[in-house]
Amino acid sequence: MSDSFCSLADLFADSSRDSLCFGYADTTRLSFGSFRAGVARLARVFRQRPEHSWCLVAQDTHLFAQCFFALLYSGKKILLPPNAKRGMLEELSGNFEAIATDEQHLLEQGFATVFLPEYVSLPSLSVDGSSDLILPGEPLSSADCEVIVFTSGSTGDIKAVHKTLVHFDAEVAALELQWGACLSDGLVLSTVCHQHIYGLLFAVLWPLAAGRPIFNRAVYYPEAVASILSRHRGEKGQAKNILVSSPAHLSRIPEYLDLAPYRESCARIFSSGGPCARETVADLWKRGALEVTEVFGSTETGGVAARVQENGRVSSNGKDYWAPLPGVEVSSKDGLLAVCSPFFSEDSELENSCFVMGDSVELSDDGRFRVLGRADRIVKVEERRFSPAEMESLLCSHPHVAEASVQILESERGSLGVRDIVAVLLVPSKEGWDVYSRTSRQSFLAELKTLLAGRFEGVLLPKRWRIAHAIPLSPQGKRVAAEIRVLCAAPIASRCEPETLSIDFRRAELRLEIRAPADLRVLSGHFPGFPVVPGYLLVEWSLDSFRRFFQHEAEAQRFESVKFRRMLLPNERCVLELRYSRGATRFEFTYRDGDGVLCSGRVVLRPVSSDNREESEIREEEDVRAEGEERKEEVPVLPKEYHSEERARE
Amino acid sequence: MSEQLEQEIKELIVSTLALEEVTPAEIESEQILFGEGLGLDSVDALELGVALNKKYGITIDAESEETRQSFACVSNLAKFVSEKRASA
Repeated sequence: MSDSFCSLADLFADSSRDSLCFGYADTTRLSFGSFRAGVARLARVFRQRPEHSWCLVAQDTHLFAQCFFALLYSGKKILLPPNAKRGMLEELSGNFEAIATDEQHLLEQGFATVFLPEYVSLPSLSVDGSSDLILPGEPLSSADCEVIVFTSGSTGDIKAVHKTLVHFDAEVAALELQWGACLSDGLVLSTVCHQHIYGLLFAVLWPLAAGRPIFNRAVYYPEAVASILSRHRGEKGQAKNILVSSPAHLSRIPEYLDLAPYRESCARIFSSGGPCARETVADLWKRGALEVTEVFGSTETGGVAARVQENGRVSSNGKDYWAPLPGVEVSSKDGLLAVCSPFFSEDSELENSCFVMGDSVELSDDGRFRVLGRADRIVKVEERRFSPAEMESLLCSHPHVAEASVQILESERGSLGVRDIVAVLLVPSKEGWDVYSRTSRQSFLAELKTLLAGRFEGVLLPKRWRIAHAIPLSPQGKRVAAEIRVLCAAPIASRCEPETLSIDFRRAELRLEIRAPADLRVLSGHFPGFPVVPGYLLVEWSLDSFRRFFQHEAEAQRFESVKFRRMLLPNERCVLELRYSRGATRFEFTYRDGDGVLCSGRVVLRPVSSDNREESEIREEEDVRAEGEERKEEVPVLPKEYHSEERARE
Repeated sequence: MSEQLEQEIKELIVSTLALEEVTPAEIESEQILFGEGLGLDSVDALELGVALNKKYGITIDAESEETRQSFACVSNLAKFVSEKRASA
């Protein structure tokens, strides 16, 4: 345990911690004394406010931490929304009276607000301001310090979970007991948001109690994480930093990034929010000898258990067992994981002071446990009880599969109405990709279909299969059902369409990672013995994607400056980028791969709005006249032979 | 005639059941439709029955051994449909 460890309730009881390092704002070292001064200043502000329940949402982790304790010292109740989105705050607005934030955009939303930077300007934090204001030198009354955190269930509904400082103090002490001895006073850097319980505990409260410096913001990009870690190697180059992370981050460290900074400067890498895929663990081990400490928990229970998966080998026999954290007791209630610990309230949804989680579990004799899947995802398909998790874990047992997500979709059956069908979004393992690329989609899937047919009855067998590069995850590492369903619902019926491997959709820009199917229907005869994806298909795909994401009814008026630079071959992957400003009459598309541009062009849209139809038609005609010269080079809409010929000439 | 009917039935199967891994042309007339063959299931069978009824006005006795045989493959279905239509 750290020498400077102190309970959260006693943090400000005296000034003995003032010389400790509280954190770094980029490279500037801040003392605990300046932190304490900031807390005092804010506490004075809050004491003068009549509101009792405060919504706290801040980007800056230092401001967040100061405000957190200032609110508690002022006797206020804290509510931590999952994010600062307007819709979210409106949904929660019945639970709070005012907002404390550093987000400018919240000031004009009609809420009562305290804008934190106004009271704690960041530069002044670097000045040791311990003499500025003194907090009452008494400990906080932990049981009266109320904090509400939220969890979004897998169904998307939001649920409030009530905590007090007693729970946080108990958990922070358990974390220090479990890992404190092997951690020195390195920097705590986080890739997860502190508005959620995992980030709050691991990246804010635990470091504060243990006297470990906190970085001033969550860092989401691996490149930035690597560079900050490199900068904080300590005087002798042996600082032992702590990375608080999640599968969403760890599975997305680009291959070109050197993992040395992670390895050399991290004493430990934590991951929570969801299980780390075996492939991620194996990959990090292979690339940089990185080991990931996974924490299992929930908003309701706080931390429950931890594990370090066996590295270097994908086989995980017996190594995916979780060991409970100190003070946590686990048992099995009707096959579900039941948790008893001092980290949560006695009064909420308890059975014999145990919280029963939605995970089915297998206990081992030594007190550890294995999670078999989410038990609450039992659905009915054609009157049969069906556990998507069971199918997922069977699929994942096959060496060709890295990850799988099983969804229930509605399939239109014309006049027969709608039928629920099972769909699979599958991420092949490295071996699986090899097989997939060498053979056909059909033969790749055949083995998996046989595997499932051996356990599930006919109506439960997947009708749709989608192969993807990754399962869409939220920044907290949770699977994003909505995006998974979009991927599953995208048609491949004609086999004239690419497979969508990933989606990155911003307001005006869409990046789709796609793969030309090996068995693309139009390939037969194009060209015999040398299959190439026809150029007109690339243009069509861009228009199809535009319809899917921007405007369902869009129709092309004409195509401009379409250039085919390189050929796309079946099985090849590439990125399709669409750029479109809302309201514009055209969009640009570009197909890229690692080495450059394959194809690019512009699509001019036919005006659709009936209100100003006449006007825009006239304008379009003027456009046409004005651009007469250029137009000769344009590609007309649809005569496909033309494109093929152009392709043939290349 | 029977070839044309088989083609129609293949199209009906693909469109009614929203099959996406196969086109009408790829279904072989003798290919087993259910289970390991084309992978149709019991709900598909019901839906196919309804679709055949709508298109050809034939009724299907779901319990009979004859029906089971008829639904085995496209060529059996085509025979079944043309017989039913002839006797109607």
